[in-house]
Amino acid sequence: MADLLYLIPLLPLVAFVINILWGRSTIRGNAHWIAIPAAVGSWVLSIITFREIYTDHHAISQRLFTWIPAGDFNIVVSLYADQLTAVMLLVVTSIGMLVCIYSVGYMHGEDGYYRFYSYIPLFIFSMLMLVLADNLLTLFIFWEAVGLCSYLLIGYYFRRRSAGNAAKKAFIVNRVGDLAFGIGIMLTYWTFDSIYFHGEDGILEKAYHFADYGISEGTIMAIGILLFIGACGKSAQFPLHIWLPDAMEGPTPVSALIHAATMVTAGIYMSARSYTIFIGSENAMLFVAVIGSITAFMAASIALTQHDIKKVVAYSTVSQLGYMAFALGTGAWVAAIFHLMTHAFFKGLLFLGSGSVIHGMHGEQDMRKMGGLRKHMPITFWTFLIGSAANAGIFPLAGFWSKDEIIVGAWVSDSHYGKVAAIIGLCAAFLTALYMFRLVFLVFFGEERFDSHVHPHESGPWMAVPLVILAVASIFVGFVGFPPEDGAFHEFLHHAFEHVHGHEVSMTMTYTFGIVSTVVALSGVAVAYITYMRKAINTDELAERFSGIYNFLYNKWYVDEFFMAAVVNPMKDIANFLWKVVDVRIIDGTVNGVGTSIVAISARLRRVQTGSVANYALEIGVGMVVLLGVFLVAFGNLF
Amino acid sequence: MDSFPILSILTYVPVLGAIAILLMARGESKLPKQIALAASLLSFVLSLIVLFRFKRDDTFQFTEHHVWLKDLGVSYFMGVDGISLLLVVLTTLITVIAIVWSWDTVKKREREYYVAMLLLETGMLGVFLSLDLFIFYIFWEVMLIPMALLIGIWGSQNRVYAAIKFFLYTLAGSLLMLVGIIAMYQAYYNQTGVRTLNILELQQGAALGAYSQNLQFWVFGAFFIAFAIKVPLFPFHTWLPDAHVESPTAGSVILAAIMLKMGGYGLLRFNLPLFPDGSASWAPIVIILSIIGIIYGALVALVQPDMKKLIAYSSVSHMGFVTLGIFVGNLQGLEGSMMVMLAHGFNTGALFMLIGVVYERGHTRLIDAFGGLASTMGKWAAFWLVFTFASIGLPGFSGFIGEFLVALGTYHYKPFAAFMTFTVVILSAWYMLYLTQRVVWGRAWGQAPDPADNDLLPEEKLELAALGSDHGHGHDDHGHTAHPAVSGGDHDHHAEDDGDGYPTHPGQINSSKWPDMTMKEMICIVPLAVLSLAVGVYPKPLFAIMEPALKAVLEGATRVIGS
Repeated sequence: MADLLYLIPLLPLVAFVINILWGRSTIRGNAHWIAIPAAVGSWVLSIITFREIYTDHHAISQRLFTWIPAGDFNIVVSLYADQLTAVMLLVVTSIGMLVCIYSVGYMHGEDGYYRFYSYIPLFIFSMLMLVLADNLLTLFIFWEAVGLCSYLLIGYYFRRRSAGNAAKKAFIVNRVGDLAFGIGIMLTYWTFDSIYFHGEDGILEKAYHFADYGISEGTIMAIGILLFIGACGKSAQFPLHIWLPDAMEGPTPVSALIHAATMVTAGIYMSARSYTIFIGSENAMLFVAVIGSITAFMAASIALTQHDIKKVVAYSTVSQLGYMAFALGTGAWVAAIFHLMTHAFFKGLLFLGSGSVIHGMHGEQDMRKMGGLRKHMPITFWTFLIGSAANAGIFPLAGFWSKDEIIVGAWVSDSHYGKVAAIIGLCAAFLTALYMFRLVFLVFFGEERFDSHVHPHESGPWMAVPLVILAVASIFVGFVGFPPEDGAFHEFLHHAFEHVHGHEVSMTMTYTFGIVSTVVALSGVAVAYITYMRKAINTDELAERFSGIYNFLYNKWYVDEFFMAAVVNPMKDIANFLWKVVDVRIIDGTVNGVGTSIVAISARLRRVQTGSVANYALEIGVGMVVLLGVFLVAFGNLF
Repeated sequence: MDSFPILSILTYVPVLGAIAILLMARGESKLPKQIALAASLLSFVLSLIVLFRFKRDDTFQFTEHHVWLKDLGVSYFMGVDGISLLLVVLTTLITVIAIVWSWDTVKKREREYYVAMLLLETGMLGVFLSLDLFIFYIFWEVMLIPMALLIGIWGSQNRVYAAIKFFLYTLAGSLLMLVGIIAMYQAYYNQTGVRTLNILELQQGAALGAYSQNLQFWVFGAFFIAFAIKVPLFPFHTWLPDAHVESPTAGSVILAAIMLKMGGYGLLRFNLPLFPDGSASWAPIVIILSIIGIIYGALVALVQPDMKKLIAYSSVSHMGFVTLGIFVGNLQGLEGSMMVMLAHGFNTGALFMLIGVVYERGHTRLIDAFGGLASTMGKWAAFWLVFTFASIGLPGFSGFIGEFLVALGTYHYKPFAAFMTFTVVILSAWYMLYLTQRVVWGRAWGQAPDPADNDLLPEEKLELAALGSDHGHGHDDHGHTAHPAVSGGDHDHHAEDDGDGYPTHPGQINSSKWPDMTMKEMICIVPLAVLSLAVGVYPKPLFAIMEPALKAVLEGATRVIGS
């Protein structure tokens, strides 16, 4: 398989090239017949790769070509697949393939169908290359490339101003993270003389033994924090999360694939990939844990108040990414990746399910205009319910195992912050169950609140089959992590984190936290039931009574407003000042002042422009003679 | 091969073409542009031969050396190394593209236009190939006049002001350079008793310590200002926005893609090797100015109402990387600087052509006049996106490698400087995507608002409500309405009668009947897109060509700077 590793990303790349070149003119509505086989091919090859790594317990790699040979800074593009990559390959290709299939139904008849089926394979290619990268710079290339795909797909409906705004915002906010990431790469290079992850001279080894190389802990901390700020952009961590909810402007399958299951986990993946750097610095770990737990709580609280079905799921995504981040920060590396994987399945399912609802509701996204859809869309309902329960962490669905492990991991970690993080995690878990089931009850139960001319309908097989597959996965995929801390998943992934020395977690603790998590989740469901089914609590009254808190949550903690007032508008003012005052008045004013004082010259120069070539030729000739004359005068002493 | 003067031939072929055009009778004829194209193509082919026969080492190759004015120490000395070679090929390629571009767009004084074009090419090639300061200076001045004429005669409304500004700025710089040349010539003579303007000998003079620290400081300054104006480096940049805005499309392309590179080239070829001490004392100033320019250019670009001005200020920002990379004193910086020059040549050149496409259809460059071009000009929009992302340094395109290497080199010099420099990744995305959103995306002329748009303005909601009552329902499965009179998305555009449609925002002009990219436009753009991508993905051959020469430059200079 080592020789064929390149085929995994190559297949989607070929599909992209074919569709982008001929999709518009020739392929048109058949574009999915190019994309789906490529995605399925990649998936099959990923499984073969996974099996090989699973049985042989060693990483495989393949060298492609030298990219930048700038002196000592020599960057070779190679593919590298270890256990961590193998998991990511499976996640990316599985969800990618299902989304390609689902979209045949969802995107049917859309303008620019070929564009959709060009960008999606381009994204799958870029994401696969990202997880296969063996050094920080190639990772960064595809990090940017997935950002490009995200931009193009968020802006898919480019006529909408909101889509254009969201796409632009996503790219620019990501670039804020990229600034830190880029500087982090530079610091890595000048610190370790390398940006390759693996091997004797690789950064993972050197960072683990940093003191032996005369590297200070402060430097390690700086690298860790810089890289994680990069991750904050892509993985939507506070305060750079603001782009992700807006990114829901893209078609819903895109939200499922890119903005839930795969691309947004790139930051988590990258941090896990460079784990020894974080291990080397307690402060960097603390930074990650604090940011992660703030994100998990903040996004869950915002999700409570949103009315747009996709916005709720989007904030839920931000919140779950927060869980992954604080798992990283508390040293629960395997748990973070475990949650990344289970989340990919159930959040992919939730987005595709939302898509099915929106599709069946003729484009309606406001939950206040839904209700009672259970009867109209049974498949969507049941699969969505499974996804919601998994997201809420209800035993024994996938989300339960991974989320529980994160909370236990935080609790037992060496970090003082770990217990705080675990408690915040439990609070967020309560909120998660609450907003998830608020959504389920508002959308699928209760009275039908949509207009009379709307006739909700179940989606066709192209869309239903992926939903069912993902639902099955959301039920069972958690069992690869059973028993907790010691499942097949841990056994497998342990090789990718060889420098991690896990904590012994007693059975009592495992059971205690399992029960606590379940109680917390179920109480969230219960509150949602009492509020939205039994109507025992009037939410409008509540919102009015606590209008301060409600507005704070409804307006998303005012983070956007803060950035507008503190960064965007001042920058524009500065830019205008630089242009209108510094450039036009000061610099040009000086130049023109000099100019007017030599008006005579200008006036004569204007006459130069007679348009007669003979004159120009003459002038050039004269000019040369004059030049020669200058030399002769200057060096008159020669003659 | 050494005896065959290929460099001279490729330099003078355009001038011969110009003479041929002049000898022809006036009158309606395609002959001038055919001759111009043939001459520039021949020059391009010759430069390719040089490229492929070039030995990848740090020597000057294909040299031609003829003593000219013996007593003055002036010789006719041409040669090419890894630094100039790439710029020569860029020049010949861009000139061919510029001439093809002008094929149907220049209708006024065609003969003279192509004569100016060809003279300009000879001037530019001569600058890159001269190894004697005397002929270098002649070519430098030769190049100046046709460019000023291109702006002043074939430019738009305010062309004369722009041409004079360009001319005076550059002339002021080159006069300073002349003083510098004379001073150095004299110093070398005083030290060695030999009169020479041969750059290689003068460099040896530098190695022997012929120039005092004081002299180096002042002469460096004289050369530096001349080159800084050309780059252009903040605060010598204000001629550039005017020149770009007023220049005809092909002129802007040449200006951006080639002429700005003369400054960088000059600093690499003269300032660094000739004045190691001067470089050391000036480096902090140059670096600070470069970083100011990088951020300043990007910020000012953000608020420009004119597309060409926006790209012009973005050039100030990009070119700041060139001067920065040259003076941070390591190989990554130098190589990055070269890569930025090439990438900027492809990307900004192409962006000016793409602006030319819509300018030639709509006769305006104001951003507000456009909107929704993705709906009406799909191919154009696709290329626009390609070069937008190439220009904002998306890895995989040429722009990224250079800017990253310069920042990497700068980090080694001072981490804070690299941080300031790299903030441009945010700013460049901001100004380019903001531009793209206003021009390429959004509603085209006459397109109804999309009900699924969450950022509709109040008046658009009213419009939508009015439409809804007219047409009942226009919903498709996903909730966006198609106005019956307009086409959507990528599908074929339905012809509309004159007078139909309406602007979707104040100031928008009717672009609904504009043709998409023509064959000629594709011929000009596609090679640049391919090159930008190829250089971004596989830049190794370029590094192999330039690295030896840059190493040699660095070794000469770092003895002082690095210490």
